[in-house]
Amino acid sequence: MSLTTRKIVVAAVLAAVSILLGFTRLGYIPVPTVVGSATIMGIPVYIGAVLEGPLVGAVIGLIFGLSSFLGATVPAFKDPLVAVLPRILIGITPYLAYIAVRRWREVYAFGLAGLVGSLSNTVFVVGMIIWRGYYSFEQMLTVIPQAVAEAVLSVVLTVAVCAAWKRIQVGRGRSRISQGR
Amino acid sequence: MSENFELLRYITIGQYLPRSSPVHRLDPAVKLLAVTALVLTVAFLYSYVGTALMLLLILGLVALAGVPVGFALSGLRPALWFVAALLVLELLFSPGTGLTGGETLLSWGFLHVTAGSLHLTLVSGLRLVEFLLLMSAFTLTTRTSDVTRAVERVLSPLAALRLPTREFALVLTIALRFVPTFALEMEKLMKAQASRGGGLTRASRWNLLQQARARVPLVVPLFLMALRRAEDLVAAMESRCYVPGRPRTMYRRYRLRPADFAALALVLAVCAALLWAPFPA
Amino acid sequence: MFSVEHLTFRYDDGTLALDDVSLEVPRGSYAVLLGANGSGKSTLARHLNGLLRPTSGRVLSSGLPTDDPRNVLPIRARVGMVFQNPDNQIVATTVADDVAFGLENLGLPADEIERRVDWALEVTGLLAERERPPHMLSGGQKQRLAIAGAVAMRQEALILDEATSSLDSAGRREVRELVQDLHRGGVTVLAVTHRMEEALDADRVFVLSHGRVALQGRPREVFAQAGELRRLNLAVPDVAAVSAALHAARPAISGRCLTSQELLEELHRALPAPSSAHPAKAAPPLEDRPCLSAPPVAEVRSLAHTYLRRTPLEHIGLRHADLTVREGAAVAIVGPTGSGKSTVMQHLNGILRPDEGQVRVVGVDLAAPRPNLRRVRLKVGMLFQNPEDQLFEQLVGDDVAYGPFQAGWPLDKVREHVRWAMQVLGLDFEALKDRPVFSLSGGEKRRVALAGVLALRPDLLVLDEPTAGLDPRTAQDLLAAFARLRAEGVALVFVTHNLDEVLAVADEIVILQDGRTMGRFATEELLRSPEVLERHGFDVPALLELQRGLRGLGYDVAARRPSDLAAALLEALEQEDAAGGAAGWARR
Repeated sequence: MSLTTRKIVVAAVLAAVSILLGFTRLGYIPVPTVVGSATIMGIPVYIGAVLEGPLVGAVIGLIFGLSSFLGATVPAFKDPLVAVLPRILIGITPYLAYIAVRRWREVYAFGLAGLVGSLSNTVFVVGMIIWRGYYSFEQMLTVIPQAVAEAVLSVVLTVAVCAAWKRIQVGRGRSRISQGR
Repeated sequence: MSENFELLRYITIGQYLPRSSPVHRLDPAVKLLAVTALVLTVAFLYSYVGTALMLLLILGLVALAGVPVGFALSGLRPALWFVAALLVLELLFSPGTGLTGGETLLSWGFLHVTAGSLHLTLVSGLRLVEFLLLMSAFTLTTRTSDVTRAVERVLSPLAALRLPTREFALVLTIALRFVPTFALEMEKLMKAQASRGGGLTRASRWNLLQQARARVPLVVPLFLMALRRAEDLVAAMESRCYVPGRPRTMYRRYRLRPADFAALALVLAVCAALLWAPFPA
Repeated sequence: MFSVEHLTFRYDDGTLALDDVSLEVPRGSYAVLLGANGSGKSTLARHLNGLLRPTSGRVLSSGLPTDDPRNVLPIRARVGMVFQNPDNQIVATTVADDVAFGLENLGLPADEIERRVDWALEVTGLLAERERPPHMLSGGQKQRLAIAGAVAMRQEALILDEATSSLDSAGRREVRELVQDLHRGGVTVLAVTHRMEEALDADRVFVLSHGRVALQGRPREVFAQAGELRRLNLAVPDVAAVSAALHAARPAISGRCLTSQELLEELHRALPAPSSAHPAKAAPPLEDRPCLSAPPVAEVRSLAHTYLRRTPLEHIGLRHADLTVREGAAVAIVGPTGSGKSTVMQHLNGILRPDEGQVRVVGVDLAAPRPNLRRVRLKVGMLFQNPEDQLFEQLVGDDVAYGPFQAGWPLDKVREHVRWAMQVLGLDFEALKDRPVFSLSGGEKRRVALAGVLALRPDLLVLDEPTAGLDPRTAQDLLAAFARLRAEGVALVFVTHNLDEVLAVADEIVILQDGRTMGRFATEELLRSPEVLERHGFDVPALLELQRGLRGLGYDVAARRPSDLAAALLEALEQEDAAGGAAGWARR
């Protein structure tokens, strides 16, 4: 895998987006669960993995994890094994999903990447939380609505950004105001 | 709900405070290693005694750095209620197994406080405070440019294993460089969408769907803007003779003094001691 | 220094960007590449430092062919490039570190880097900013930083790719002076621009069109061909336009004057002293001026605002601002960077709320605790800088319809409003509504963003530097669209530092400085008394300078556009001739 300037810079700007989302309320969608909010700071990781590959995804994931770790007020996330380690992996799983499906329809590949990334984030992080003993499995079931919200947002945003960036059209090409004519 | 567009307000946490304390004068790479060791120790320290001792140590460091404790903890203020609520939840609703096991101290219906959950809650709370103090002591005494160079220097031995450490440090540098710029860009986006009748304040707080839809017009342009900037930056960097992987020199020079070595050794020793000392659980 | 031989270049998707271009830029000279958007000028510039490689033909930079990969680094070590967007060239977290970036890439030892960084900061006037982070620099400072990087690398040549397009007039001046200094010191300069004024500094001008060299020569020769330039979609500088128009009617007057001083001297030489005091020719109003007693749509009194209160970055945005906008009027807010223009603007639709003073817009008092923001946002449309960055939908129609849908309007109403908004701006509704946003050009995207704001049919439209970064032709189209809007009764407030724009569109000018309103003038007044502008520290636009000079010669003419000025002067001369000015002409 070659290291290009583009990979370095894309990793950097997407990491910056992740950090920024993490420090402003844009990144948090309030959901009344144990661990607080549905978040979208993982999405730059999935997009980075799709656009530039697993290494870039892993790097963005690492920086996302560090940012999450350093900025967290939730005690469970003050543990690097929970906040940082799983996030490196969520830079790789979307890439695998993407390359598996892209020959078929690239837009679906974007969506799947977003979905897989978000689910990996939920599963790995929650798994770590349980393994480290902060909360029980039953308690963690309460995060399901939040996980669903994150998954939906991840799919929507990953598709929107990747399609726009790669100039691929999504959908049938008729705007809302064209319907019914 | 009030509209607040001033995002830079949130990025001012962790600004450099120019003073002349012993901590300020320490070499940034040493500080980075020390902070990493301390943070990891705090993360894995579990005994009451160990955590309390660590707190004392950290308070000492903060004092040494000339940073007022109240200022250092100001990052907690916005989240205070939330954190308190979480801790109370942890205290009262723990499953009573694993870390939160032990004898039941109080019981009232389906609420129960066990020795384990009490321990977890207290230690969690202390950890939070310790982290904040540590991070403040670090970021307020070290310039950002020194921090990114410190990451480079600390990781450089790994370069011998053909790992792209300098490139990773460059990723960090560029990311940190763009965070405030993107924050300003984000402000503009929020104002523009609010002007059109969109924006976050229009979505009711607990309505997931509305909250999600309110974010799309803000987040998508943010990403696209970031990616466009990346394209430009690649051209600019290559025009300035940047080649990834090629050896580069470093502008800033750092000299390690005996005090740096001593400080680092001391911190590592203390961390090791705290982690392996047979404190009562 | 640069030698381009029969260069042809196609992009990966097959579009032809450059078609058999040949030109030479000698060492030590100052060359300018002019052209409209899409002419290929930026593409050509990127060949000169190896960012792009020729499809056919040859490019030599500093004597080295650019298509040999081994030459790329040596060329870039000697030839520097500064790009249009000031922010997207800065890599490091402080000024000094960024200057050092190129030197680190070259592998220079640290003490040498330190010396050069200090020297480059001094040359570019950035020593005081050395530890500052980039987001706290002005646009002009950021571009000077980019140039400092080139200076530190001791480069022989500097290519500026639209480097001043995103800057305000102060920033442009800073960069221009710096580049002139460097040129005097021996650096070869190649500037790519669509601003004709910048070409005045050059030794040689190349005009590109559709990937070919259409014109070349010394600036004077090129600018004299005003008709040709207009055909190539380039805006001719005002003085040159007047000069050419006069020359066309009266060949005795030179058509090659480039500055107002030159033209005035020429006129002094060529024109007779007027035999009688000319009746003051009032400038024709652009359109019927709104009755001065029209009700105000926005009123601002004693407004003050502080940013980022209770943080270390707290600073005062406004101290005392006053402003009145009547229905159907067009008001320009001008002032230097930091004067508070954007702050005032953002109060007009409630994005910012007054810390002190009053703001009353479309009948809503914005200083009250819970004002009807919904009404304000429906009635007041606001466009920020670079609005094309805010587009988020896949399809044009959807993005323009966002505001109306958010307002809860039914589909039919939304469609009608979207159609109207797009058509006012010259966008073909049927053709573009289902087109993907990413397929549009920059100028089209800006109009789509503006359409999105207009679709709510606001009574008041507030615009922040609407033509910033646009090439002259697109800017003119946009200003024409504003004139159409005014004809429909929409009031306009726009913030600008471009006084030429003010003359073209505004009835009234409000001057801000240091957060205070320093004065309010009708544009008519400024035509007669441009000293007002000088008193407030602005450069007098060339057109006004000409008018002032003409009054000194005894010709009292007033106009807002070069064509009008030329016409007015020619008319006055005809009267002169008719009144027996033959004696005066005989003097020649």
